[in-house]
Amino acid sequence: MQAGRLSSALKSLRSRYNRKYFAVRVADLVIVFFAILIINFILPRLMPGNFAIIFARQLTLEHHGLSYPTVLHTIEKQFGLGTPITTQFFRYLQDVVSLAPSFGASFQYYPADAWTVVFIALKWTLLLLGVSQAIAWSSGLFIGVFLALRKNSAVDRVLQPVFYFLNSIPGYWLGMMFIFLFAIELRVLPASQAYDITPTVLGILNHMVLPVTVLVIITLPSHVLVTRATAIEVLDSDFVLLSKAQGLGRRRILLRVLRNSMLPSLTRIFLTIGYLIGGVITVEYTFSYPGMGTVIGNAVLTLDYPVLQAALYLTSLVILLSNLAADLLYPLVDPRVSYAASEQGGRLL
Amino acid sequence: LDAQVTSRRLAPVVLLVAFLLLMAYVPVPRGASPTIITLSRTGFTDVANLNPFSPEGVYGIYVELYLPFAANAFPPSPEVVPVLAQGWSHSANYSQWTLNLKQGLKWDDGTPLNATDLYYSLQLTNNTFVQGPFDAHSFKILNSTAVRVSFSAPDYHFVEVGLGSTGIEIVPYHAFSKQSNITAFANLQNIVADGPYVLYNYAEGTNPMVFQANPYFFGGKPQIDEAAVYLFSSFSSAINTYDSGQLDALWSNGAYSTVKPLASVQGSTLVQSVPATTLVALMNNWRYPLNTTAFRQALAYATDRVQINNLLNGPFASSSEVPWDMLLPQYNKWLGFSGDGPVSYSTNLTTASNLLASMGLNNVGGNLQYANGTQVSLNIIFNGGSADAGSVATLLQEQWSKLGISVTVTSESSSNEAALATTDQGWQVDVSSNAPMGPVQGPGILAEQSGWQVTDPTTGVNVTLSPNYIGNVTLAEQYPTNSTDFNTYAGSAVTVFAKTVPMIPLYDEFNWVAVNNNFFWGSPTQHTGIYNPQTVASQILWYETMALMHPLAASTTSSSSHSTTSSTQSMTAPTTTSSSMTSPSSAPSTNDYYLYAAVIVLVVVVIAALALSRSRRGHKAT
Repeated sequence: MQAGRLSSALKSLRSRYNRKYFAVRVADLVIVFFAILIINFILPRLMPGNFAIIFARQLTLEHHGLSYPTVLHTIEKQFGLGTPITTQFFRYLQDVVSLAPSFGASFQYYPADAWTVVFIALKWTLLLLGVSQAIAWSSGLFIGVFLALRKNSAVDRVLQPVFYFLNSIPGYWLGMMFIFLFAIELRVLPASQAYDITPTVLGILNHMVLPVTVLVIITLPSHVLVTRATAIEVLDSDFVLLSKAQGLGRRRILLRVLRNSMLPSLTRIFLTIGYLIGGVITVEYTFSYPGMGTVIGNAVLTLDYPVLQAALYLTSLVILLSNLAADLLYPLVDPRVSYAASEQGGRLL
Repeated sequence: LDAQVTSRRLAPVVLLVAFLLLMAYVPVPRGASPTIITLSRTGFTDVANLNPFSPEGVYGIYVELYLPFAANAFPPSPEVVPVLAQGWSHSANYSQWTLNLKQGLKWDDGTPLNATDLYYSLQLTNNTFVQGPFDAHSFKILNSTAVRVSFSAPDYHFVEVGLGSTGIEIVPYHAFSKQSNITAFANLQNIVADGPYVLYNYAEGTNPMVFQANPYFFGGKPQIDEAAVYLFSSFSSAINTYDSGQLDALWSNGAYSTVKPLASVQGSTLVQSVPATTLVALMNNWRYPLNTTAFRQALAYATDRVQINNLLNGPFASSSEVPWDMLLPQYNKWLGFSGDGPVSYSTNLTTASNLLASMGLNNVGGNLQYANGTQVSLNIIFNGGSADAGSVATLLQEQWSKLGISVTVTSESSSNEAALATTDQGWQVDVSSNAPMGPVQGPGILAEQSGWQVTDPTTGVNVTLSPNYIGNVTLAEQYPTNSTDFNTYAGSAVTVFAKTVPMIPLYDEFNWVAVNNNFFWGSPTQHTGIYNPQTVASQILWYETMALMHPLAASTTSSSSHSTTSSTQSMTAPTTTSSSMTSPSSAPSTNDYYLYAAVIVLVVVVIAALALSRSRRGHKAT
């Protein structure tokens, strides 16, 4: 019985995809990925300044009496910055295009590997993003449907402009306001860092509250507004009318409405992962939270190319894969979408 | 359709949000029984190297761990003061120096700190490029606390410049000598140190860094058990954190305007400490018209330094004034000048205009023009990351425009500003405090003025300072500090410096420390603790906070008797023979487990909320 169900599920899946579409989509991804690799090398080097000069100045500042030209030469040699840019590029490609991509040692945190620096930060960013987006997306969905059900009611008319207003608030500004209110004035929440002197579960949760709240507030409105608009369309559709005519219960109808309303919001969450990582940078920086944002911010300021490259590589990879996932998951969530019938792409049945 | 179901579905989300809000009110224990103090470091968020002999060693942290033989200090202390040193002496011709360590010094693992460590550290210093080199040709251990250093030629300033100014750290021979490649040694595990607060191990990514009181510290075990040093990438975040009461002390440097927000924090004291550096308008004197002394002097006369200093330093303006030769007033008196130095350029637009006219520049209708009728223009660059440089550049623009010069101001990134200022291209005036030196303390370290770099692109020679200046400094270095000949040549050097105006010194930027009033931080009258004028190493990086704060007590007092008692106790010889000393903890706990636990707690809360929601629904259905 169970085997039969599994087989029919697989058959249903196969009926929604075709190999050619999948291959074309993956090939696109590979081309974009290589373009990103090249840009990832060029962009950090387009920033004004030179790490070797900054580092040499810092060393001569810390240790009087050092010969600046000697220190500069030594640093350029040690970090491979004295070699021609083409040599640096081919070495970079060689290191990156491998099963275990390497970006070399961080300039700022030498001898730590750039990957290590990024991964230490990544877990904190994932914690913030994961919790905040789980709250923002799920509550956005329900609030959106709630407002759609009460279209043009007093609540709807009050909350809509409120969400438009919240949607336009920059995260760092909100972060500063929250710090001022909750950390400095009321002193009920910590102003910065990820935990207290010694890490404890309570401490980590306590330090998460403000940044998570800021991230929820700046991302919730878009989920609410998108879901509301979709839900209004869905509520007006024939199948809802039919469902009512069939005498289905309120809960079942609402579940169908929810399921159909969540699609744009779901797509949005995949497509905005890049924006979210970008948005979290300023929030993390405001709260001195030890995530990717802080690491990228510092790497930009110190011209730490390896860390910048590792962070941008990882971010790009996540965005590419999430876009691919959004594309490929769509038929699973919406039975009307299928990539099987067309050789060129998906179609709406 | 009724929204009842929607509301029920919202229950898990509401519960999760409620849980997070609850977290805000759960009292989080701030450490266990030890007395902990929380401090801050800004500018970085991670530490991966604590080796003073590695170029990547994080200076701001390893200076906490390794104390120097001697260090520079500001008046009223002498120019060089002993730290681990008992004293030093030299042969009649200054070619041999004998360095004596204090008796009974120990590393934090109880191992004696002796002449072997000093000998080894001096050799490393002499042989690695990281530390300031001195050209000693041999070292010899004389006994358990003394080392003799021999030079092929007299070195009159070995201790004050070679050791004091560079702040060379003494490292443990028994730990460092095991390393085959000393510059590649990260020194994060089983760290052996001698500072008042020490780290035994450090896991990268851990923030704060929790230092333990060193039971063998030569000044006596610190009265605070632990010092947690938070690393901040942004200064504004550090200020907010201090303001919220999470930090006990916050260090900074710059003009008063930078730290002004700290002055109004309740229950806190803002202390102006030793100078950090000088904010200057550096001239690119490789390019016309700035390669003309008369033009630079005209700019000096057109500059209203009093206005700039008053606006930036407010109530601290008088202590931030800097003479035109950049020496401290006390040292100017050594050289026979008044406290203001050999030259003063009081603001005088007429004199400035006359100097410009002497160069053949004409003021036509309020516009200064070259002989060919072209407008004279200047571009001022400044470090956009600096809190004050932009304001100062704008003030200079306003002041110099009065001469008819067309002045533009350009913000550059910190890295670009640093890069430009070491070449002769792309800039004319650089408003900067990002210089490789602080205020020149005394005649003994005059040579540090050569730290200002503008390099001739063909020869690599520093062209900021005139050969006449450098020649006089070189001659001064041939004589003992404060000898008649030394003072003559040093006086000539600083006179050349002030008269040729390679830069316009605007004001001294100070080190500042904001401290909460719950601790005793030292006595201003006794010059202890944070009021100690000792810099230990380079004053521009006055990070030696823990070395300076060891006389602390864990309670507030304003009575001078307490401060005296406290500082006296701190200098009592340590009871190093005590067998009851507890071993330091071996490894820091990693924060990862707690992070994972936090995630698990969140997941459990969500699952519980979902289960609750379902059970309510099921209950209703039945």
